[in-house]
Amino acid sequence: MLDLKKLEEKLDSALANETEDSLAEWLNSKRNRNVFDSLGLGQFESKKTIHGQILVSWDSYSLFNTTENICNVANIRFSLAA
Amino acid sequence: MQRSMYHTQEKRKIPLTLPCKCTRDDAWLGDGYYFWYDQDDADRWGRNSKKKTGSFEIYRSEVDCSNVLDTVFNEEHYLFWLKQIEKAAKHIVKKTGQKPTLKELNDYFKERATWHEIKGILFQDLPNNFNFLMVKPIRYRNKKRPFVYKKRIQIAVYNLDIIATFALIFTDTCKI
Repeated sequence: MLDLKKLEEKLDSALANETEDSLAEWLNSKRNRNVFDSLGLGQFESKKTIHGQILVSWDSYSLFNTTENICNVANIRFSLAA
Repeated sequence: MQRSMYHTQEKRKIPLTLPCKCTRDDAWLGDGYYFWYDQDDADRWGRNSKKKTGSFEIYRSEVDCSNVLDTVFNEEHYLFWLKQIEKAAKHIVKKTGQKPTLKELNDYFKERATWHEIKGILFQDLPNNFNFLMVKPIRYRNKKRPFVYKKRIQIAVYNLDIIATFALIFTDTCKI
């Protein structure tokens, strides 16, 4: 059976011992760990760069005729895996 | 007290012998082994969210809940948990200016407050699909509001010692 009083005392004691720095450091370490976790394990593999010609048809050209669309196009990844 | 609880995973070539630990950032109560209280919820989770292999599996375990913080059925535990969550969150906001997530708070309890006695937490989360409810939504001023009369309950198990059995009971295909 859980001793809730004891658990509360342990939490109160932990919080009382925290400084702004210790808590910020702990929180940041948690959040940084989460960022690195999302990358997974392994190594980065270089991809070959392929030079070529991009043909733009009139249909697709019409999609790029505003500044906003051109900005959106800039976010598309054109890299090709070797 | 023992409870039968259900663990859902993608179907694998070889069935699991132990549950998989969930380390996702959006796991509400931190890293742990998650089980559903109701087999229907385990089934819905499999059909809708465990789609990697096209099929899913449900495993049943007998879980010893003696040292589990029961925030669903035990009023004392619920009020205790609520108080500690809000106290710790308030303290962290005051010291760092940042709101912690529920996962971070639970990590704090385990790591900094050394709550190692707690082997798991039984909690109720919020369903995002209301089709399973048998009661018609309440309509008020052209808005429909479903009434979630049925709790969607999970347990986050932190220590495998409280799991007595683990057996595959069901396999089916996911929703396309």
